[in-house]
Amino acid sequence: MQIRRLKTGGCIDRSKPIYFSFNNRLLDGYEGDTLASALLANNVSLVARSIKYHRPRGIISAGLEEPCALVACADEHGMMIPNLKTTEARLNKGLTARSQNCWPFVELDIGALLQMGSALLAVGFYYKTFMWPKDWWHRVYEKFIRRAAGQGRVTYDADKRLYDKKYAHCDTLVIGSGPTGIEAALSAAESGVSVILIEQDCVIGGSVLWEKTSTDSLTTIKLKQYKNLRFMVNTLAFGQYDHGLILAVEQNKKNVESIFWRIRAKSIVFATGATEQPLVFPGNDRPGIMLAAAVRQYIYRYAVIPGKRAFLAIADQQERELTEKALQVAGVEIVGSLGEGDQITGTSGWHRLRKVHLLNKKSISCDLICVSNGWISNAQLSAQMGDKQTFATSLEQRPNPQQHTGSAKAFVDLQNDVTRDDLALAVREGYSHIELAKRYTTVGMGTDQGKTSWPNAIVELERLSAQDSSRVGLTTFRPPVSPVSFGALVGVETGQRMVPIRRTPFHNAFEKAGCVFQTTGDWLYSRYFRVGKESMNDAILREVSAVRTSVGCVDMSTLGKVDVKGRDALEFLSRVYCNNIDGIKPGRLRYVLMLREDGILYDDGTVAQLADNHFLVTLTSANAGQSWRWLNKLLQLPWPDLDVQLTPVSDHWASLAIAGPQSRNLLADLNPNFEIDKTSFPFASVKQGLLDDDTPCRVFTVSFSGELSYEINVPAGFADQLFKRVLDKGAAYDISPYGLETLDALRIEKGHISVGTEIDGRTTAADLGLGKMVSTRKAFIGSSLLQRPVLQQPDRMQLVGLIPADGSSTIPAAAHLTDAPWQVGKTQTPLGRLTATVHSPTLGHSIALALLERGPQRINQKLWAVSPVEDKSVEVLVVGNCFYDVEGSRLHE
Amino acid sequence: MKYSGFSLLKNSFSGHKHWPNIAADIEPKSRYDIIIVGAGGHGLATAHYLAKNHQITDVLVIDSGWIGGGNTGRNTTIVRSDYLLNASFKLKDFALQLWQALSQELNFNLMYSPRGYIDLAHSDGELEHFLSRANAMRLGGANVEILSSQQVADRVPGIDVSDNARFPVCGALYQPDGGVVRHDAVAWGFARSASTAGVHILQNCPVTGFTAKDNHITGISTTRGNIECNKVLISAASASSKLASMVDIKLPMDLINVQAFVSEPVKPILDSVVNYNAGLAYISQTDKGELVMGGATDGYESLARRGSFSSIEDTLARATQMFPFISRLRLMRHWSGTADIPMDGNAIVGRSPVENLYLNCGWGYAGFKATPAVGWSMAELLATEQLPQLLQPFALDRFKSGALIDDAGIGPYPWLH
Amino acid sequence: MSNPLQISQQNMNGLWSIRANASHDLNSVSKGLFNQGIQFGEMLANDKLRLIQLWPDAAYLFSEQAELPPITNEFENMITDISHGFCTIKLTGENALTFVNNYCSADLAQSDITNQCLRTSLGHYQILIWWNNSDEVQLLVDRSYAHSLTDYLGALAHRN
Repeated sequence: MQIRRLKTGGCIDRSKPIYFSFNNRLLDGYEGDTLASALLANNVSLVARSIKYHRPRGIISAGLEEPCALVACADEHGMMIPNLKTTEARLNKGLTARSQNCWPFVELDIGALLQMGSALLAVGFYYKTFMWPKDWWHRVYEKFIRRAAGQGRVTYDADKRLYDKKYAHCDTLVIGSGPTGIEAALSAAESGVSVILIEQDCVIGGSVLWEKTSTDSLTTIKLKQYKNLRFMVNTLAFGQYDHGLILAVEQNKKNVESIFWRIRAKSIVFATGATEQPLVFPGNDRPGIMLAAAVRQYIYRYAVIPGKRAFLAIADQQERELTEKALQVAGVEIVGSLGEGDQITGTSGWHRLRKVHLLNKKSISCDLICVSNGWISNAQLSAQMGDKQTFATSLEQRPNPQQHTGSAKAFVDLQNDVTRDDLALAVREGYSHIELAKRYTTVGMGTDQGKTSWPNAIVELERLSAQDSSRVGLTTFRPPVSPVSFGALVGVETGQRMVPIRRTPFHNAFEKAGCVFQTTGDWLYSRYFRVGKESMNDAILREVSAVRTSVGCVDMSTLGKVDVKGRDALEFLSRVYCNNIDGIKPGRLRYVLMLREDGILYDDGTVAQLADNHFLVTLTSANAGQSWRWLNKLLQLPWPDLDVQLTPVSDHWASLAIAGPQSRNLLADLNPNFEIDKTSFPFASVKQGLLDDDTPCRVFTVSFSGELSYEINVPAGFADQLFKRVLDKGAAYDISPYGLETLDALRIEKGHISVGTEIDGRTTAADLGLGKMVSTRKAFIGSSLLQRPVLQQPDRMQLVGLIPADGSSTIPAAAHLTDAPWQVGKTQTPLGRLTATVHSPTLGHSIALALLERGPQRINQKLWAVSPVEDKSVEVLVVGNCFYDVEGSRLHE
Repeated sequence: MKYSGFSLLKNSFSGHKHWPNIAADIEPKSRYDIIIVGAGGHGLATAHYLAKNHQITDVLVIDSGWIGGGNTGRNTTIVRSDYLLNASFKLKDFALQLWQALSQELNFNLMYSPRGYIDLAHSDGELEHFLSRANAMRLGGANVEILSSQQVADRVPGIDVSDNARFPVCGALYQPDGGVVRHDAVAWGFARSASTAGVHILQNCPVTGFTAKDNHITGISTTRGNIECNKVLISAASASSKLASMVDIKLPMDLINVQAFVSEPVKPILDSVVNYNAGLAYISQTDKGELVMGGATDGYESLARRGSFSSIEDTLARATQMFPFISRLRLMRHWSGTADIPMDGNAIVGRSPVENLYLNCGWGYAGFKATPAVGWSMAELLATEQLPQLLQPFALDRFKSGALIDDAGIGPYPWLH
Repeated sequence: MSNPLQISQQNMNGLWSIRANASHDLNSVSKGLFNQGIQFGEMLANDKLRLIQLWPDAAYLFSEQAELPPITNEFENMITDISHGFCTIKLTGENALTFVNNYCSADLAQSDITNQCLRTSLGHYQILIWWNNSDEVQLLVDRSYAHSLTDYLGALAHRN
């Protein structure tokens, strides 16, 4: 029953009643109501319990500054959304709201017992106790504190709502649709520039809505007449960033829960208004004590009377007069007003205000106190950019008439229950700078971001520490101006869409061939190919065997590929890579190493010379992006005088390597229009031409597997065709396509290094046995810092191979190398660690690669590979870091 | 005055009017034995251990702002020691041991809460790296486990380890002794202890220069006059570069912006500290109920302590991957600071080219967890002039010798660390 | 949107990257093809070819044919075939341009994009956009991202 609803007036739509539930009570309101106005209309004044003392709290404001009246509401999926301010929650059909942080009911909350010990619970009390017995903070006390803390509850259920993120641009952005904002928007639109007007409330009007009883529909019509003006309501501007960037969240949309807007404007008008400040006096937190302008807004805009007997405690005369007028219009009895020199010594009432007590006067019975200690402009967006705010008046001039300290608590921060005494204690203990006071007392750190507390807090601190405001300081303003949904800030980029997925040109064809994919960095890459119902291990055995005895094929498309042209191309590449490559000729390629500027090995790849001044460079998949940027940076910054042109061609070429003793025969069956015998097309070469007279190709003789191998590159559109032909012709050799798992097993058998394992950002080329590849007769990136003494020491960790000493045990993965087996409780200093292990299908036993102190000098030594986590210790024999075809003869067959 | 439940009760009867200032207001003397520039966690910890371990109290800790106003007041409170490289692991593990009894030692509740630190792996390769790291830690005596993705799900209700995620979780490294510590309390606790022992703490007094003679510092100049001393420690994080340049020392580090943020407070929903590793995001729940999150740096140099909002979006996208319920919560507050990150991503601690000037900086956004160990070791260095073994790897001259400590293998690119 | 957005993907025909070198700048090539020079940010088009310079020293040449148009030998070293490295994603429907404008960081309504083509980002995707009218927009994206971008656009369309 809306007993507090005025019979006429308000901007609500009385033809659209809305039923909602609050703490399981069925209530009604109208379209246009907030949950707060509807509750007040139903004469509900007790809405919540304060966080620390569980004191009864009601609604004090009509906007985002609401500190206390927080509830949990159910969304359309029935999930509870915690911490909504009743003043921001729009009333809609079926709204279910519940008080938070109270048990069993908001009317009877067991937490209120905390007030009996409130003297103990002075600010910062938890720093002074809970230290004994020693582990009890975590094991006992913290559990209780955590359960008592926190406002609302949230469950683990995933959020099913849709969110969106969009961009907008305009010449003039106007934030706020009060009279100032409207004026600015209209005049800007009139001048012809593009205008966006945003308003966080659900209707246009701003402060007009507090003083008049009808919406100004005329204004909306005026706004709509401009094609170059766009206005959005329910849109909160919450952050400002450089170069005219405003971040905002728009709610109450049809298709989505909310939209996160990034608005770039050439000029911005901040018409964000101001927030009224409450008074600090003993007992200033009872339900029924409200901000004066909020009272007016409830009367005019919502046709609700928040009380029947009102007392006024308003500092400014004009404000007082406006409030008196509104109360008279609403038929509310004004039972008194705070005069010059009057002091409030306390209030009475538990679930609702009953009396106000004045010094030297008797107590006055009332159920509503309209308070106002002045206004603070909503300049947060400007302050976020570092614009400093200062008080316009000095300490003495500022209206803070209430200084009486009684036994009752005088609240400075209504949400975090921070009292005047708490601030006094903070100052006494040395936390008088606002930043320290804030952290110690938590004043201003609630979900209302201290909108009705930080100014009063500064005034209190000034008084208490006898400093002026510049010593106390102002806290830093940062986005958001009011809490904004995490969902909106993520938008559509949930699940698989968090960051883009890259697929190779063979993806679809592989899928049909039974490929099991794996996420590898940006890519979806083939992990292995499943035939029938085989397990992954069986597949790997089959694939490795195929490559070593016949032929397999693997996708190499993810490697970075860069086309390098120009008169200085060779000089450029010579500076970038540490190998001597000046002897390279057209049709040949080199395996190359790229060092970082500090001499550490960074990437490996190939440089192939296609023609005079024309090279193709490959980069590892993992480093492709970073290396591409690096190469460009070198040509732009230190070497702009080099005549070199780089073109990224990674996605242009699909690359399929066929590897195994039968690979040359298979290549022949693909009908290339160039010679491929051993002499014409040796290892480390490149040829270009056609396959079957219709498929352009580049074929490279490189090998990661250690077998005879041809990497066939075709323009990506030919990938399907190539793969089909390779499978068709390859059937004669029992071809097995393979993926990452087999690729890794093969390369470990050969001791080939890879990024992320041996190339770990700390090893040098020499550490990995590739010291001979580092030129001694030219300067290259990293050459000078590589000479630093520690990088040249012989006792560094260096690459070796390991085999089980007994020939059969499994070397534990990620083990470390020690000179004795692992023993629980003993600490050991390891001599090295494994970089890779695999059960070698080819050799029939476990093998590993490792970095070991003075590795090459320890060959034939026995050590222990220990994995304490898996409680395993296996004796191993140190060997060279190649387990298969050490001479590399199979590459040259 | 001792802090205890009993003294709290006693003082409650007198309206808490007798609690003393945690760091007495002092008039600076004209001379001190040791001056520590920077009253953050590290500087104050050093002062505390100078007093406690070495009975040296003729110390001034001076700061241009309020105590703990830098990283100590801005971090995401996580403490752990799961680092691969021995140098990093040993120092941070020593710190973890000290954290366990530090509240009692300081008589200030630091709220050390070993909730368990869970470092997620998003591929088999990554999990194998974690296994290697865990083995190194176990060989060094630390307690650590490797969890399967199911075990992660069992331990952390609400976490998504399904294949729906962009980078599905394969498993995790789990350090039971890792957890959180109330960051502000660390500065306040060390300040109070040092101050009680007689150390002077001077706030809001910037150091404007040094006076020196023959490669030897004789004193500092401040906005409140000159003060002489025997030794100086620069422990000022991002301000260290400017201070060091006053004596012609160029520190090889960049000052990179980093951000963190919290949700509105909710009832307990997350009991562990969880770290996401495909791009970076770490999350825990404070005792007040807020979910506190951080991620990678902004990737560029800035002293503005502001950053770009896209860093928050990126971190949040990853947090939402871990905990899909999170999108129902709201961003309440965010903050930002400056991470001083050297060329190998690890701190610069120890001696400087100037004879009696010592350095402690370059901790980036990983310094909080090491606080007590750094304080302890720095105090030892200042008091005995012998470099403790724990600090030896962090020497400034390692950049010249090549003895880098690059835990992540990223290289001389501070903005990538 | 009353006319639902259609999203289709197709491969390129002819696309080449042209890079300036020490001997020739992009103007030389442009004059050879269009009888006029080209500037950074400009697009030149005739019924067969389109040349876009969106980098200080590089331009893209588009053609309906897969063969390189006749061009002097001395420019050969400047040209690299990249036609298979990209896919076009076409968005058609009422307000297709508004849709794309909502999601990319550039302001597509700017009056000084005279040639209606630009390089920008949409979410985390790097794209080239061009359009002749507001009902049909083409996005050029690296081939390996095309499938993912199509999914992404579908999710965005679902929200409108």
